[in-house]
Amino acid sequence: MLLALELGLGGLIVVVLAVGLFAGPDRRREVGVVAAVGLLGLLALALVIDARGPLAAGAFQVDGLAVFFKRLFLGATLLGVVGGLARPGPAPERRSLESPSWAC
Amino acid sequence: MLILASARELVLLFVAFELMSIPLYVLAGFAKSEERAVEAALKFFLVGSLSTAVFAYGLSFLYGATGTTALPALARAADRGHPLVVLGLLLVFAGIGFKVAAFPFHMWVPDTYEAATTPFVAWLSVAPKAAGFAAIFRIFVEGVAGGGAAWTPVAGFLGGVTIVAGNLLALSQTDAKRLLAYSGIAHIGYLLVGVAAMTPFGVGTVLFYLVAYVFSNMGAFMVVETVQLSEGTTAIQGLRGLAQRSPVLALAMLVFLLSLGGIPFVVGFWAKLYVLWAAAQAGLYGLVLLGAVLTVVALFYYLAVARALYIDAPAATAAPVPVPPALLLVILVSAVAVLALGLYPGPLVDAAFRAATPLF
Repeated sequence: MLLALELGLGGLIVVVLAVGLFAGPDRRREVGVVAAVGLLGLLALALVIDARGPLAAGAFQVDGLAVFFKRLFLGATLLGVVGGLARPGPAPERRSLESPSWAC
Repeated sequence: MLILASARELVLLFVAFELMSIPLYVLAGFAKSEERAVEAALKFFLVGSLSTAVFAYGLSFLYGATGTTALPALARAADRGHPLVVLGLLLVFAGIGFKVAAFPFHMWVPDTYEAATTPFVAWLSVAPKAAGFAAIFRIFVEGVAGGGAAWTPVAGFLGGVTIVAGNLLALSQTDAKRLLAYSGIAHIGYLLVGVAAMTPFGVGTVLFYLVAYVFSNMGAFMVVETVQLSEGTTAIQGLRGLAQRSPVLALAMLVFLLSLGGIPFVVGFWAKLYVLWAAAQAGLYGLVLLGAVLTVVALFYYLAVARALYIDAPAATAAPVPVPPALLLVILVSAVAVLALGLYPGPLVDAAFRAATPLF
């Protein structure tokens, strides 16, 4: 439970990446909605769970300060992602030299 | 960032910081077809890399002097006052200073803010800086433990010059994003004043300030984004006559500006009051005076924007500014939070002070 938010965010990153790959560049907004809904879920989780304690011999500590900052980070990120949904247009075009394998 | 908030070991903290920083460089240049965005991302990357080097150099001194990377063990070693520990902590403070954009490590901020996409900048202006303060609390309050008070002059001096520089540089800005960039630097100065207090009350006030800053600053940036999408400009001139064109949008911007300026009774007022109160309790009267005087200076440029909103005539067309639903949602949530926490800050104050308690 101490790593629930970190694991949840890792899972959300994978989901958003997969949705982004399959949805294509013209459906960026839908990918953004998935990210926003996932972040909202994580923020709700962060507000609900109250597990405290150390991990890895104290190298990782979930205490009041950590919980406060995690809620702050998730809330700010959610606001930023939702605000970004208003951006029009598709993703910037790829340039061939960005990937050596595509250049040849 | 989530890992950074929980890191109590120097290597984990460093890795978490870099895991946070690298995507920021990419996102700064995300609009890669725009030359300015690429230039801004490169500047951000170069300055960020330098700060990483300074940070890592400082950590290497700490490890060399103490033989440990665990914060509790570092606290015991720091009490002995080894010169390498002091030098290491100084370099670490400078490295984090770059990340939070404290003066004189702020040079990447205006260009990056101006060129990168506004929703990203809104987030960049608050979340990574909050992460920097999480690292400061872990290392300089929890890690240095009893020796934390020795860092009061460093944090106080850096906070003081950052308040002065941020506010004075903001005075001459004609672009809303650059103005918010420089005013953001000034706010980092106020946060460092709270850090300088090195008391549970001081840390609690910084946590409260960070929440107030998230809603006030992100809300202001989102209004700028709305106008940018409609008018194609982020110049303050583009906000002229907004009250006649979109009264709700103008009112929301006014609320955010008043909060950033520290006017009663919005959340920014309590944030500044608590931080300066914490400094006064710690005997830092010079910083209190400086912070109070520069608050008045800040009002000058915030109210100059308010004048553009309410007094100046619209530049060309008087058509309403369309507000996309997503931006409207963020602006409304931020405005409600700024007003609600301004009228009833008690629960957030309690939560902030509870969060600060484990550090002492």
